[in-house]
Amino acid sequence: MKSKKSKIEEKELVVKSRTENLSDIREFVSQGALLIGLPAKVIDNIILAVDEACTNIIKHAYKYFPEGEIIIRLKFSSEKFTVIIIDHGVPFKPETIPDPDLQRYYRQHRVGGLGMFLMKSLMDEVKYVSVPGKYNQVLLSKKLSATH
Amino acid sequence: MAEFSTSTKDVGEVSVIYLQGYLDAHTAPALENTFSNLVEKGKYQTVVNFKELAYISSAGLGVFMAFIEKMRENNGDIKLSSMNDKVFNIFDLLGFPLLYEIYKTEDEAINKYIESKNLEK
Amino acid sequence: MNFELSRLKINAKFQFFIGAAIILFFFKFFIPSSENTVSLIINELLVGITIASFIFFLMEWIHIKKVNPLSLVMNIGILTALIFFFIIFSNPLLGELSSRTQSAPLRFDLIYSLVSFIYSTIILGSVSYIFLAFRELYFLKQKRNVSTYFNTMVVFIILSSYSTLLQQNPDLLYIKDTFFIITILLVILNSIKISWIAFIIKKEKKILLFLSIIIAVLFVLNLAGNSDSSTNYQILTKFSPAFLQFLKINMIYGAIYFSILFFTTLFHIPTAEAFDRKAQEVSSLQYFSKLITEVFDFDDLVDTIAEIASKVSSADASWIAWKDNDVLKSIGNKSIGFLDADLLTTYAKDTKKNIEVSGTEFLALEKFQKKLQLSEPFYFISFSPLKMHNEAKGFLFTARKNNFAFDDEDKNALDTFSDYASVAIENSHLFEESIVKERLEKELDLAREVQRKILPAKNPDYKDLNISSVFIPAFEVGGDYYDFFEIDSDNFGFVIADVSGKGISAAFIMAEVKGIFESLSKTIRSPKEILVKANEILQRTLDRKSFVSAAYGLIDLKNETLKISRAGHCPVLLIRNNIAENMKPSGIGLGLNFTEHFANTLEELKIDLEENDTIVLYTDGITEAKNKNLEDFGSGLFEKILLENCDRNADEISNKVIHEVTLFSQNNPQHDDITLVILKWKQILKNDGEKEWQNSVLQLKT
Repeated sequence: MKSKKSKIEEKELVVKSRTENLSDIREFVSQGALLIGLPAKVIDNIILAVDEACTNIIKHAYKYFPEGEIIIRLKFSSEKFTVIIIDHGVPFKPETIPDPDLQRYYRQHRVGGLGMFLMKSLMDEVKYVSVPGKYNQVLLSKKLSATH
Repeated sequence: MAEFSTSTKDVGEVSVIYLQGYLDAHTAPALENTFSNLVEKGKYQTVVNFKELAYISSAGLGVFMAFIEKMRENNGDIKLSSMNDKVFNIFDLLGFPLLYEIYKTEDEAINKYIESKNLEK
Repeated sequence: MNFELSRLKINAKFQFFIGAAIILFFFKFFIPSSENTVSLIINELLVGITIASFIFFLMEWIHIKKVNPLSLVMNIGILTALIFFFIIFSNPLLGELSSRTQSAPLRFDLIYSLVSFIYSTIILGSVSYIFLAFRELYFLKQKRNVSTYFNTMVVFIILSSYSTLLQQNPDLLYIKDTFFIITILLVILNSIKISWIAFIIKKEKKILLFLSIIIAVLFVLNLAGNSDSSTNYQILTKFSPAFLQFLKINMIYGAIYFSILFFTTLFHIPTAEAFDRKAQEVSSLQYFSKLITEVFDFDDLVDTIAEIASKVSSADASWIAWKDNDVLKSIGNKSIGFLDADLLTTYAKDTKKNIEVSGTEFLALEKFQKKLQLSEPFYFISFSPLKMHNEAKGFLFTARKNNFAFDDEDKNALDTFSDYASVAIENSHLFEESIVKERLEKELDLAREVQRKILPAKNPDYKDLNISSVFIPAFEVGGDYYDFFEIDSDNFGFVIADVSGKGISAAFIMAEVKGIFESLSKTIRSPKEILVKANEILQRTLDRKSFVSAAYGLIDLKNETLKISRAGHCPVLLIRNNIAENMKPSGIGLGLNFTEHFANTLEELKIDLEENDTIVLYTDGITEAKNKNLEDFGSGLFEKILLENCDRNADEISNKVIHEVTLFSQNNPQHDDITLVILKWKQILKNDGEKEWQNSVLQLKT
């Protein structure tokens, strides 16, 4: 009753923290985004951002522990498409990860931070909150009006 | 469901790696294996053909980062070719064109190796 | 250096104290229990000096250690307990020794003297420290200078102590009693104000409450232990009656002080929490007011605000619900997920209809139907408006998981804090705006620079053609472009164009358009073909939103003809025989249509030029110039002015037009670029004295 103005719909997927589930996650996000008729290019970007977020969770929050839970929740409103990804692993601070400097990585044989950078570049909004000992949430959103 | 696969082909001294499907954190180790095998065999001149690659995430990009120096130290390289726009955009976003040679076609990439070899002579 | 120095000072004081003690020791042994007054006085003086030197030494030491009140109280407690045990055990142990002394005088007397001296010295040390501790506690956290009260008391304590010398004379006993009573009164007076109690935290207060009652009891017991019959009394009387008096006063002081302390603490406990929070608040606000001036990054600021809000209101979680296109979205979440925060924000918004106007409000979550959807059990939430220009731009939310509701104290704290936060947010916005503004200005400068370089620096010079051009850029570069092409001795091309859009993007398209026309004009002689070709080239570069209106003309100087084509641009005016004729060959703007339709609809007009013909090219910046009533300058007025001045040369005409436009628009800001190009064909001069051709470039600046 309260949300007559902007119709909000939600979809949820719960998967185990395994890289093999990444394709299911991408499929789920893709289906969800198709429902509200986003352009293919935008959907591709959202899928990649969610993939990166989940990869981070599997690697860093759960440290490849295969029985962790990842909850992916899609929210559609007239203004934006929001993905909230919840995990119960080790919190990490996305702000502390600097944008990647490829030249430096090249020299240091290091690979990392690319995912975070991609998420920030591909989405309009990337937010992270951690309630220590409880859960972590990553929020990704894409404005619908600004996509052309 | 084979979501990702690689195959290699030798063209003279150059090894061409064909990628197919979806390259993400789950499938990246397969590509790592492919590269490791080439390194073991002493094949450092590589061209990666992206024509059949539908998707790549940073985990996949990381594989190229992991091997590029090894290849270059041994007088080789990883040259990339035949990317579709979607994949190229991701490479571009991360500034990969500064670090990697990216060609429109596989032949162009292979020819670069041959050219530089001729130059040395 | 300083430290070393103070160390030396202590050493000197310590040596002084040791010296005094040794002298006292020898005095005691070599002049034992003399009854004569002189030796008594000397004895008392020596004891006095020993105590004083010890106290001075301790004073220095305590100041270096910077003790806190609780540890002082602790020390007093330990020393009182020590004295207590000494007194208790002195009766059975020393009493025994004392009774043996009577039976075997010589040897035991020596041991007894030694033991009782050591006993007395330990008590002396303890009492001295206790006294000094009282002094420290007294001066702790005193706002006013209260040393007079204390010093008076010290004087009376000394007087009272030494007045014991008079007790052999019963007539003078009243002096001793008087001093004693005054001393006690001063002690009471000085014990009443205990300022430091307010500055310690609640937990410490609880410990203090417990300690103070025990210590008070110990002091009372010690006082009672000094009864005339006790061994302690006997030893100390022998040692020094003045010291015994000093001890007694100190025990009374302690009993009074700690009883008062006990009650003060008892009454302070309920307010202790408030104080704790106030202290927390004050430090938070201080920290925050620093932030206001330092943090300009909105995201950082929001995080900090949420974090401090949690502390200020003793909440478990906090976030800011920020208005983004009239939708409240949660940012800066602290210890709460986005989903929970959104649920609670929505609940608050739905429950409190006029959430906008009031200050901090509280809400219990008992009736919250979606409570089970929360991932953690929250019981209470608070929300305070973050106002900018009296409008709530967002709300500062805090939430509690425990069963303690928010109270008025919390409301005050949050009200104050949210005011601070609002200011900080506003500041950061202003800062961001100024950065954006600066960037825009830089961009505009660049756009103007590009435009300036694109437009021809000077007008071409022809014998039969008098050319004048005026360009007045709008504040935000408008995208006007004109150019002249001196193709060869017989052909002169000109173009005028208006790129859609403004600013830097328009300037870049302009640059591109210039390149296209420059190269096309060299090879193609037909205006129509040039425009068709230009349209084709632009297809590759123009994005879907932009287009370019243009008119291209070619004057054949030898055959005296003008060919002109127009792609959606304002008509070209031909003034001939006092008639203004709009030359309007049809055509669609460049970049709007890339099919054959473009070429099919594009016409080319060809006219033969006649003497005194005036060709006027302009962009809509002239006809759409507005006055303060927002009326257009209009093409009617424009033509009228042109007709009135058509006998003049090109520069004069354009001067006149610009003058009129400026007059018309007055102070109304110019919204679009103004471009006016006037070509005058073979002007016959009416006034022979006038300079024949004028080809100076007008530099008009508004």
